[in-house]
Amino acid sequence: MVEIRTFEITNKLGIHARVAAKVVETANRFQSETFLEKDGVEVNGRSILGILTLYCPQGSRLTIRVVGVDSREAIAAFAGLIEAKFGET
Amino acid sequence: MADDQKKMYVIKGIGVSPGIVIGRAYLFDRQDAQVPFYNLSDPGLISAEIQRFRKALRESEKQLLELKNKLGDLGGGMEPLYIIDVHIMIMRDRKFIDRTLKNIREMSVNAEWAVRMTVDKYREIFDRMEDDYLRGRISDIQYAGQRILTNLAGKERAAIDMGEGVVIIASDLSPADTAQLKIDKVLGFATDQSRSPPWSVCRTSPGPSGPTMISSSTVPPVSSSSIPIRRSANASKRRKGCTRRPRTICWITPICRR
Repeated sequence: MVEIRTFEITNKLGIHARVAAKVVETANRFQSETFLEKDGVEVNGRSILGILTLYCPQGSRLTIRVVGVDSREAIAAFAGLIEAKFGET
Repeated sequence: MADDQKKMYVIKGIGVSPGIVIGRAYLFDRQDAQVPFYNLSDPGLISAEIQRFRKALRESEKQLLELKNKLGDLGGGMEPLYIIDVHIMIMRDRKFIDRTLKNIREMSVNAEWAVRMTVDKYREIFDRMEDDYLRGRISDIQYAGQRILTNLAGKERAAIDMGEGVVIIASDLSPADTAQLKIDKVLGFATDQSRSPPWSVCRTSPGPSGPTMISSSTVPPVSSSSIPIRRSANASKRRKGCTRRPRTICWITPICRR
């Protein structure tokens, strides 16, 4: 099963180290594999360095693709995280 | 040094402790300071080097977990704990590990060099980022790399031989760095953008130093740690109040790089 959704990163600081760590933690909670794509570059959602090098400041559009048995739950978790601005402002 | 290679710089900064010193400049580079770089003479050494790297990774992660537990036990919802998780994640990162292993295998370099090359590669990537804050996150990768290098070097870190009567020029000095310096040979410090609060540096070093500001200072070594701590407290107060901006200029001649 595959779930794909595009999000806008709205928190002020964008995807910095702490936020990237939250993304990795979320990806690791699920069996499915997570991939993050921006401007044609795709990285593994379990790689903090992959996510940081993707470079997502505020306003970036990020596409998340989740592949696996629990992809629906995983994409919902990512959506919740991003909509809550990763707990930031 | 030939005269035409000499150059005079005047660096203005906020004084942390009073005094004027004249000495040779010693440019402190944390990574270069302690790291032996060499090519592996025999391809048979590659697997041993990979084992060294993996062992240093395991030890680094273990230390960070211990540190996290220790800080966690202190309670109070230690918010900064997350940064330890970030560093652990970097050390576990598949790309980081694979890139370093590839450096050892394909370039036949020792583990220290391979780690440094990996960190430098990331620095290149981060340098291209426009956003200041995100670009600055390279410091987390550098920190993780530094811890691995420290473990590769073993627990005993040799003191740096920098000669006598030097003024240490550094962008940032951590307590671990100052512990490595032969402090009685140091006349003064000039630092910039240090992330360590003043007292954390001063607790390990008997001399005054100037975190977050460029400073010059005389360093008569003192046995009591209370003096530098008091000086640092004054410095912080001074900086906060900003009513009087001490003009301390660091005169250094000649400038030389090790």
